Amino acid sequence: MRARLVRFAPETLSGLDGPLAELLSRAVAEVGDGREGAWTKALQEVRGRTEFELPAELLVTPYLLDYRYRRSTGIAMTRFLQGLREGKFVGTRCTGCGRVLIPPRTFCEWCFRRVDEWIEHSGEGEVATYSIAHIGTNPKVRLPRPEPIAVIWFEGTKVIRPNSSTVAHAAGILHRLGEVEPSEIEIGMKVRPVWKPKEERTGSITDVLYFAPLRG
Amino acid sequence: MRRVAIVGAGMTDFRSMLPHSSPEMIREAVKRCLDDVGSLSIRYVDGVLCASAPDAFDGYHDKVSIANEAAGAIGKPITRVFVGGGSGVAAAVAGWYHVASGLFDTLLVVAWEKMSPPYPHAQKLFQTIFEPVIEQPLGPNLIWIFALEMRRYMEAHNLTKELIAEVAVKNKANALDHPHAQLGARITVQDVLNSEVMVWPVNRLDISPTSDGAVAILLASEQEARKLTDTPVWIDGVATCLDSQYWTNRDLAFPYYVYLAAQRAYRMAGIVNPLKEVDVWEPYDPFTYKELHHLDGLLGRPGLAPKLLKEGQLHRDGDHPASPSGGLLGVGNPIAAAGLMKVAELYWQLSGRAGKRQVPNAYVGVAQAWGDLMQVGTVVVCRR
Amino acid sequence: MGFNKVYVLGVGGLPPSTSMRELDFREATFEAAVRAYADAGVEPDEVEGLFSAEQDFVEGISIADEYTPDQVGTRLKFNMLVAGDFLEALFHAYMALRSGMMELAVVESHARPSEIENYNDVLRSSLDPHCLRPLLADPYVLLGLDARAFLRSSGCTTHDLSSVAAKNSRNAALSGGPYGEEVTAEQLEEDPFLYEPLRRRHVARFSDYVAVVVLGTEKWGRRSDRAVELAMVWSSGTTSAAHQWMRSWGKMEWVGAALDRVRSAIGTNPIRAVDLIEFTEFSAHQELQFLSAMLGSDGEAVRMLRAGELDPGSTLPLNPSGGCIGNGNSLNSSGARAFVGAVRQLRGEAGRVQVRGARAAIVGSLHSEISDSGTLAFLRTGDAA
Ligand SMILES: [Zn+2]
Repeated sequence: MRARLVRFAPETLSGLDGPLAELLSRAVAEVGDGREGAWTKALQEVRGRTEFELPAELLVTPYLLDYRYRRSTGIAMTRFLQGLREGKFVGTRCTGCGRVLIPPRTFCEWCFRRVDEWIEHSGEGEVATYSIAHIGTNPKVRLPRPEPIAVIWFEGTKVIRPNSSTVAHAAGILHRLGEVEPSEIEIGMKVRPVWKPKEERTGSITDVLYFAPLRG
Repeated sequence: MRRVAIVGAGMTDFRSMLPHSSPEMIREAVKRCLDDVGSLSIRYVDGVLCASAPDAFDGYHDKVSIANEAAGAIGKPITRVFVGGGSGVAAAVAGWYHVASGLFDTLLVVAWEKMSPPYPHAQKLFQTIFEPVIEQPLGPNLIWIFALEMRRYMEAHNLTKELIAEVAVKNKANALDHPHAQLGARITVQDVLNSEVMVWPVNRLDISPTSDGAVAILLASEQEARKLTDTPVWIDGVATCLDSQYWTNRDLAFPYYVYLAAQRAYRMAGIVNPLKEVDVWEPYDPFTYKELHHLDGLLGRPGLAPKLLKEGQLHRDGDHPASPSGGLLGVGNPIAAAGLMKVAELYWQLSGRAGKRQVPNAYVGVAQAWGDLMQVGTVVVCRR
Repeated sequence: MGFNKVYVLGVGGLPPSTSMRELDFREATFEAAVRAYADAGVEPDEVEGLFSAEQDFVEGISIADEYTPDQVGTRLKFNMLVAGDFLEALFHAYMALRSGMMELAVVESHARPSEIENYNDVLRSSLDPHCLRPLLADPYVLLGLDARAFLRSSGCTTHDLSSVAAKNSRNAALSGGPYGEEVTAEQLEEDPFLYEPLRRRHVARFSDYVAVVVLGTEKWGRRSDRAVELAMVWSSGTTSAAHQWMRSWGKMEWVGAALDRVRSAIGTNPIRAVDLIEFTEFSAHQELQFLSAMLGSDGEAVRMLRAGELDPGSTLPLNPSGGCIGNGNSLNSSGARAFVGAVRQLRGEAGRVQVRGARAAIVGSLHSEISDSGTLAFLRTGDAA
């Protein structure tokens, strides 16, 4: 197979964690694209099963999609990110349905009305659901340490309304769990945010390192 | 309302790394579809409706821009709809209103997906479906959200992984009878449980594969349908429903949006009791638990589907056959094409063309797909 | 069998601007939706479905429709994303309403080129990766190829292109478009070439835009004396934009097929029935190409331009809003801006660019800057309808 090998762009590799980048670089160096065999096999498998007369081999054109954005965070998300930098969760409250909205928005999607009552929340809450990730974005590469992830629902925000029938709603976000063994995690477990040191916070969701069990 | 029929269908093999380019896949599916309608000429077709999921897979911006020649759309309307994983069935919904509007007498609906170009893996691209400010920085992948939903679903109904694994066993076995299937196999529950854990509680065999493939169906108005075939399959109900983007703000145990979409489609089709009236189900099954989760929504009864599975009623010879095609778990999951494959399966089942997969006495069928951030339900109800 | 008639009940948008950074896309769309509902006089609760026009790489989010329903008030309602220009989503909404599956729908589109650092790379990747991408660093050069072929076949000159650009810039100066300016063709002739024969201001610069349009069947249309009838929408494709080597250079082939369908729907040649045209010209030559295809004559289009007949207040005002050259290229939302402009004209609310007595209009949009595919919409007011 005379396929040209696809390489990782340096930007792709530099955007990954150290060990993962190293692993992938090595994989590329050792087995190239790693898929020439698979392409050839696929070619043989469908020969005679398609209306097209298939070539003896396939070529590969490598290219990188590289689009860059600078996204405005607007009103609500800017205040949310500023709050994170200060170690708190900023939300809004809708006077129509009474819900606390985190992540915050300047409108309520239930009531379709403007929302401008701002609230602060400690970030304590419970695990609405969780999982343990053994892979990142490449299913062929196992993470050296499995990573617990969860949806956190903030304390005192849960509502069940007739218009959502069987579905409960609450203010909540996606994040990681820490200071806990995977086997100890349960749905409903009480958790608190663990923040980066103040001087390292940048106004990002990663200013929260993870959520840890609220003990005692 | 003007009645709309499916009068033909065709598809490529679903494979990882199909050697065809996207236009070649489209061409093959369209040709097989037209051949199915007695070698109909493409000139007879009034327009084309396409569906294909994220642009990133094909590596094209605006990827409808590759399809015009292959789909025979020169000088005709050709537009593309797209609602993530729900795209394939959404295409049938959009195709329905093309014809029902009276503006089209015949319409090709084409869905394709080419997932093998991204390297090292399409999963990296799925990261870009997340909220760019507060979710993407956490480095999520698509399997995360399924795992979170599956865990919540298991908790809500006290389900075991053993029971859920039976969906993979059933669908992969059904796919052995599908001529275009990628992963037909006879496996056991133990095989699923022993396969690698990807994102707990999801194991490798709980997941449908990444695939390349294309599917085409031909829609026609009642008058045209009677000319073209003796076995039209009518699309009598269509609906989509999209829930909020704030998916972390709601309980994932029940797909309320699938329920609402189904209720709207039933109302349109005059279905009162889906459990009694529907003979064939093609719920969206990119993951094992999703078939059950979606059937719960389609039946409007949280927790019912797992009971039916346990009783063997979802098997092809059961009372409520689900995914007799083999589904995404067995036939493969080229996203938009996989959804349209489910609609094509209804056509094959209800017109008596399903061969070894044929469900006896099939009069009414429901196909459903699902997508975005666990957010959209797309449903069609078909009748013989 | 009866099919519903379709009416435009209300429009809402934020004015096109070089940057909408003070609001995020959700907040900006919410503002547009609030205006559209107020304009239409309907409650958001009553809306049955959303049709949105978005493109993944313009959004910077894969599966862009995830982030659409909340800010337009359509959570848990029908949803369809059409990956193309706003008029293509309008086409879908038009069919859904005609069919009777719903009576009240919204069409939404937004684009924020100001937040994309390398948009030309995005557009470039709509081209074939094997034969075109390695050769074309900037896909806009294709506009130059097309303009050259058009000048050659039509007998137009670069000065004519400058006349188009000057007209649209002047119109936008009146309508408040971000690139509006009092400028003459002679002044534009001083601009350097970007993609010969196209000069700098012959090519539309970028602007952010968002609009929400409320559509309803006659049940709703009857309730409002400001409703404008959407009499026909039709879209047409030709060769795939990815395969540029196959296209007919210098021509807009899609217009013919679309025009035929609109003509048979309204029973007359639309170009004779309309008081104005809005079209998304991403480059000055495209406006003349479009008009030539509508008239079936290159010569007549140029004659009208040179005679000033396309100016506001003359025979056939073309882009009285200022078009994309005066208001900016808002990518997949460009058709929305043109459409909203035409609706305001027919309601007599177009302010300083109002075409007097406007009762019917055509809106045309290209699928993308480099695509020979597009959509036509024919609008008319109660008395013309
Ligand atoms: Zn509210």
